[in-house]
Amino acid sequence: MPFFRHPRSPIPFLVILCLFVTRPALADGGPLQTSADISWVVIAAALVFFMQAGFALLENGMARSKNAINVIMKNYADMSFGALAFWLVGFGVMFGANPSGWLGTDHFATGVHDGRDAAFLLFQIMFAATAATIVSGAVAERMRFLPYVLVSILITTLIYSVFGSWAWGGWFGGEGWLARMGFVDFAGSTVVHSVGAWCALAAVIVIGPRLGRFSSSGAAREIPGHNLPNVALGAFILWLGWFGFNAGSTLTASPDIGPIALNTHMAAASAFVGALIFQSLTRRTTVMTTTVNAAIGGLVAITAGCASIDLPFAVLTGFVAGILVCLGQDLMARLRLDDVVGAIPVHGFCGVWGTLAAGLFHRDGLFDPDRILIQLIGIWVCFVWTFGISFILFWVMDRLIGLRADSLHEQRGLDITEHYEVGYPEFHSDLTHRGKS
Amino acid sequence: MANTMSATQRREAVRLALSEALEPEDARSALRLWDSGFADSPSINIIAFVAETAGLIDLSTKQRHDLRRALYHFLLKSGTQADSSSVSDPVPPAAPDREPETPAPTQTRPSWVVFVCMVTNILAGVHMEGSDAMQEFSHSLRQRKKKVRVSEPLDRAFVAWSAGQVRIEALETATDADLARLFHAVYVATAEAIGPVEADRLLTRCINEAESLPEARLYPPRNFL
Repeated sequence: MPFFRHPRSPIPFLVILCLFVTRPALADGGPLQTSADISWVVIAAALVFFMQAGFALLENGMARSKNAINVIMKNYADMSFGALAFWLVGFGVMFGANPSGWLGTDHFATGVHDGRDAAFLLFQIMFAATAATIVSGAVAERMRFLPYVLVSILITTLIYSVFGSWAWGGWFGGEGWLARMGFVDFAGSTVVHSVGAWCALAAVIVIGPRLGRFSSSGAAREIPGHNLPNVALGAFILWLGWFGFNAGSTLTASPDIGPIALNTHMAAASAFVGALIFQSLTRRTTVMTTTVNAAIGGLVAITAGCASIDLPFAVLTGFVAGILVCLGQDLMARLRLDDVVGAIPVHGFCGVWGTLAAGLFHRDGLFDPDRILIQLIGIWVCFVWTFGISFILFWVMDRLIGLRADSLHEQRGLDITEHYEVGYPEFHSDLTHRGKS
Repeated sequence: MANTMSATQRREAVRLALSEALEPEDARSALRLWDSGFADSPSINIIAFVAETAGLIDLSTKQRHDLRRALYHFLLKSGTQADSSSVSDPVPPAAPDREPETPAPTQTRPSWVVFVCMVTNILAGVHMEGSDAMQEFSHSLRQRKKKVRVSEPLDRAFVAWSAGQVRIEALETATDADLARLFHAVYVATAEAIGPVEADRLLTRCINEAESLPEARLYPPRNFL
């Protein structure tokens, strides 16, 4: 075991860290009590994992062929580095004992002793990776790979976990201060999706648009993705995975899963229809990428209120989300923000709308002003924290190590410059680099 | 491809190229087209000339390719013999009477020929997008100069060329590595001027064009990428 014995090896340190900070098991009580609960949550975690495949296909398809590999590598990095980082640090920050309501204080690098612990940790790891991977689509085609990995680690260990501790914290005791106020975000319209989107917004501002994306007069130039069937298939996979994302958040194999899954599906369908109708009424071209994005926007929007609003309002929530995606993409172009896959309108704007809708249409009291106010506070706090801290961190990283790929790499494509591979080696006519020679 | 050749020399080079690439009757028709529409132009737009010739006498893709290659070959050859400089750009930023700042080498390097061919075609492509694109291209190129890491004299020459003060021959002393850096600056300016998608398409076309040059065997165009 030479690596283990190497004087600079980090493994002894990690082992000691685990011994000191690990608590034996999750607290008793609450969900995940039966074998059926655990089985359901593990299946749901697998569905959420499958969403990464959806993100990979969608983002890869929206990028140009010379960056296809790089996009997928970033998705894999989100899942892999994100899993380790969240287990080591993020899980404790988010779900550790939280007496102050501001931060978890234990269960770092937690040991897992039974199926209940394992299922919960696994499910939460998938959520953390989802938040991180939202960024990769927005910054595709011009962000370097290794700095991206660092960004992904920062999101899962710090940015996502801290806000998560406010809204969802207290699994091992205590309660997050936003949760204590009554903030409703069942499966993470804000906690997962808006956090990812505001990080993406900060990153997009810091690294700037792709070469030539906007003319000097400010007009946006379309940069079509290289594989739109991939985009459509990726969106279908995301839609499928969302059943695990929302219905799995019950953490119990209970009858509640039925209406949650139904709300989820109907909101997505309604968002697709909403976007189509909006594009038709405003005499826009019915663009597949926008319409498919709208369906995902519907899924994001219903995530907060899928367990607490009735079906007609779920449909309404999705419908509005579909329109928001169309308008949001226009806004991004007008602001000269280059979001390659439309992650910010889909996950950010629809996350905000969905969280607000969860307050507006709550079945315990429609349009309750107190609940709406709490929802608005949660939305605002999420934006201020997430965008603020991520902008500062990314700005500093950009100055210190450089987030943006060199323009020559942008010309050649990040596939060859970062990974020394090309996605489609048989299509030489599209090559913009000198190959491997 | 405007240069220091006289109109007679240019016509002779074009005639030789047409004779080599086309049947005699087609060559005569093409030469008439040259005389009527291209001979008086201060720049030589090979792409436009070949395109119009192809429309006139119905050339196959391979024939167009051969014609372009022959035109490049004879124009470069003729230019070199005339005044030791070979070619310059078709949308010249240059002042016609001004000599290049740096002396041109007596023998044309393959890398230089390929570079000029690619830059020439890129400029022609940007030019076809309109005057706004050309202005944006020039502006972007001037901005870009700060980031091009080349020697001081070459940097000055590049600045002067991008400002339209000298012809492209001013860059001829650049090493192959410098040419690659300059070519990248041209690519970035192209992406800013016409968008990255069009820039990539244009780049691919230019590589294909340049690969038809005899010099491309000695210095493949992809070396600039």
